[in-house]
Amino acid sequence: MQEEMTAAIAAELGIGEVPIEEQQKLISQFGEVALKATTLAIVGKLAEAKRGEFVKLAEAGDATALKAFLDTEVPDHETLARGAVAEEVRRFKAFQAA
Amino acid sequence: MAKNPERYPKKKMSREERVAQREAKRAGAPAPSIEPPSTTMSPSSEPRPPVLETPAELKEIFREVPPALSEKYATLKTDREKQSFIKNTKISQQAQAERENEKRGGGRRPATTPEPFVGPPSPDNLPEPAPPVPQGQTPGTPEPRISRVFAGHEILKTRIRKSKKGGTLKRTTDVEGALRKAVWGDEQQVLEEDGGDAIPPEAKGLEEEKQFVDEDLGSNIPPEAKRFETEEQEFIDKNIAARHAADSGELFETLEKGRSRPERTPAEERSYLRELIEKAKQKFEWWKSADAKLIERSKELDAELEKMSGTEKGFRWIGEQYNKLDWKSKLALGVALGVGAGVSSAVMAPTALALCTTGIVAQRIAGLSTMYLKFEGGKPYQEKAAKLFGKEFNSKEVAMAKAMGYTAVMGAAMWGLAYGTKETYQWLMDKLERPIDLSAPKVSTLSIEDAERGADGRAMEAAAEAARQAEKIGIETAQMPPMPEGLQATATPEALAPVYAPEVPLAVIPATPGHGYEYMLKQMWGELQTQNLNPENYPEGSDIRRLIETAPKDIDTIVHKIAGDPTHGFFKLDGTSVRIDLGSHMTIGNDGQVVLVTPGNETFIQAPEGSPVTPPYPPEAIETRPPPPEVREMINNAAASPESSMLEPRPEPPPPAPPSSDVHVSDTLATAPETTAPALETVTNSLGVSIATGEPHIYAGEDAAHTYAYGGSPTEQADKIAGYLKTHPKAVVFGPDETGAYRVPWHLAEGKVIHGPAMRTDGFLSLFSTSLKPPGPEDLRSIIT
Repeated sequence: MQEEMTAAIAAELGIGEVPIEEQQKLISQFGEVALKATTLAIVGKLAEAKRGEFVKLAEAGDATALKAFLDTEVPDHETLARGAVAEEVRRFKAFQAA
Repeated sequence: MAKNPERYPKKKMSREERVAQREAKRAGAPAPSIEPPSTTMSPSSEPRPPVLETPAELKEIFREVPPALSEKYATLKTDREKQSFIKNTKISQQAQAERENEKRGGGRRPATTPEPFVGPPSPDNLPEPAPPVPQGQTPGTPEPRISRVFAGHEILKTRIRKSKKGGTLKRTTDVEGALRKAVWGDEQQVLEEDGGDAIPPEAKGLEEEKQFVDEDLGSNIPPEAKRFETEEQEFIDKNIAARHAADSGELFETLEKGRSRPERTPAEERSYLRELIEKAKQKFEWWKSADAKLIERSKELDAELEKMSGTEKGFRWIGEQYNKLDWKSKLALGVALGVGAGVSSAVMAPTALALCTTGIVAQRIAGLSTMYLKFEGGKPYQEKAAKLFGKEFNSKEVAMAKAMGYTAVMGAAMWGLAYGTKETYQWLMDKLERPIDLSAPKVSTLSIEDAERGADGRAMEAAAEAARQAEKIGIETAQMPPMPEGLQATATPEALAPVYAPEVPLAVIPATPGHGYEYMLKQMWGELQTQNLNPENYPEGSDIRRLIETAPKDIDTIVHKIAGDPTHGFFKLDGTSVRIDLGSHMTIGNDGQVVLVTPGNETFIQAPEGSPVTPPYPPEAIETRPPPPEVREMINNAAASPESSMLEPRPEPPPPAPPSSDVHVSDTLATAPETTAPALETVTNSLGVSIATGEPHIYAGEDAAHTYAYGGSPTEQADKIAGYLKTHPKAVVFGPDETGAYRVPWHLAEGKVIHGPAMRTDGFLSLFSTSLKPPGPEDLRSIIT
């Protein structure tokens, strides 16, 4: 199953031809970028006063509470996150094409 | 090293003797000899090129003397220089002659055995009568020194090339070694034996020659050697290219793919290989730079997050925590962020963040990933899911949404299946029956909200109960399926541990008419074989492991054993089998055992006591019944009436068609009185196909060309055929004719249902052919509609 998942993500990133070890490395690195970009996109929409609360919830690792918080404070957080990930995928692919 | 006794007589010449010999030789007198004349020419007795005084004299030696050579010769001062010049010129001419000879198709002579050079006529090298060959010896050709010099060049160049390959050019050493070995090894030996106190002029000349070559390799290497070097260099280039290509592995293959291997000139081949190497190099460089680019981007984002966080600590911990995750969690996190599911997929940022922080929801995301792939993966999974959930999945995006929506309930459903918590299972099944709005953007909230509300909390209680049961019976958490996120609050701490259970494959085999437990087991085996499962991941002796490990040739035996295993008991010792009702399905429980789920959502690993059974095969004990009298009367009446091919208008409905005389009737029906409603009658043919005799159906025969109508009354059959042909206008359905006595092909013609002539058997050479009877249960393989 991991192989299939890796293949799916590698295909999305356009690194399907890269050796598997390199794929894992790039996917791993890209995951970090995507997570940070997503967080940045969401935090950017949060009121400054609420950012501390968001950090606390995120650090606590309570997905349900975090989601409830975002649903209230940033109703379109899923769209924002989706856009951020898409943008990072686009950047990565643009770099390949360069 | 053994010395040549003829060239090196045991009795050495003294210094005075050698000096006298040289003086005499220069004066043209025969050299004083202390031994009988040798049969071979020693290096010391080789003819020396004459020292010519003017360029004009050169013409007497060489056929062609370019003006440049003549001018150069005129500038030479010492005898040695002149001798060396003549020798090199001869070498050039020799190489030129060989090249021309090769062009003419004469082939290239090995450099180690060059054709003896015939020098210009001079007193020194005039042909002499061959000396008598001593007994036991064969006449040998004297090895001209000049040829051995040429051979020395070859060796020299080879050494230089080898040095190039090694990356270091040890020119002087190689030159010395090559020349010594090829040209004056013997002289050196003489010198060594002689104490080295005098260097013969020949050796000195060679030493000068060596220096000459050393100083100007480019201009003094014979053309032949140069050409050879060029070829060798090309060979080296190719080898280097091949090595690069091998190192680049798959990438190189990819680059090579799609390109044919046309005939290429060496130059084109080199160019092509260089191109490939260049591409491979670029790709490798790209990988490195891509990684660096991502790291750079990560730092940029860190900086931006730090500005925005509003807290001292900021979001630096994200990167730190992320780097602590194992590869599987990182993979799951990527999927949670929608990477791999298309740019418009749903994204679970909170879940991804929570995973990054605690890793506790990794199971859920991993489960999501699995489901996503199964939904997205293709038809087999989609069809199964559609059967299970009554829904269709099409695009990748929908698949992801589906997976997100179903992961939680699927996890709990597996719990329900595995541990028999009927309440949980029922609730989940009910939940699955409810339509889900796939167009809703917040599909990912479905599982959480549903789980939280949990149908008035029943699901949470049931899941907690399931966890308690599991704990009670000692099932390790690692074997448990992932729990719904919303249910984790009430589960035992062990159940929340972020462990990864061996994946239980999604394999659902629905019951089909006429098929029993063993047939379903065989279908299950076929399904498991397509999933490339590792048997090592499942408990030894478990059904799933046995099925995965079974070879095709053994599967019939194994399914029979499993069915008859007391832990299942679906095949009885008396030869009967537990009847499988339509609407049931078979799946794999979390402990790897085969589970049968009834239409009432009851789950059974072992067949319950008192289950209805089908009779054993062969059918000796099967009760058979003749056609009812009214059917026989109808057949007789129809035989007397004019044949009509049109179905309409239909006469009044005749009585139900009788079952064939060679069918197996299940024991529950065999004992039933004849007054039992025909619609309840089912028969099982020798292939195990269960057939409802009172209901008309369209059945598949042995292949696509054979489609049959069977069951119910002739009118019902006619209606069934008409309905089927409307949706399948090109089909042909074999059924009874109006008399019910013969088999005829029904088909559509100009919108009307008509039949052809009665079918007949082939007979023997068209003799003894008889009419075929209408389709009977033995013709039927599976139900179509």
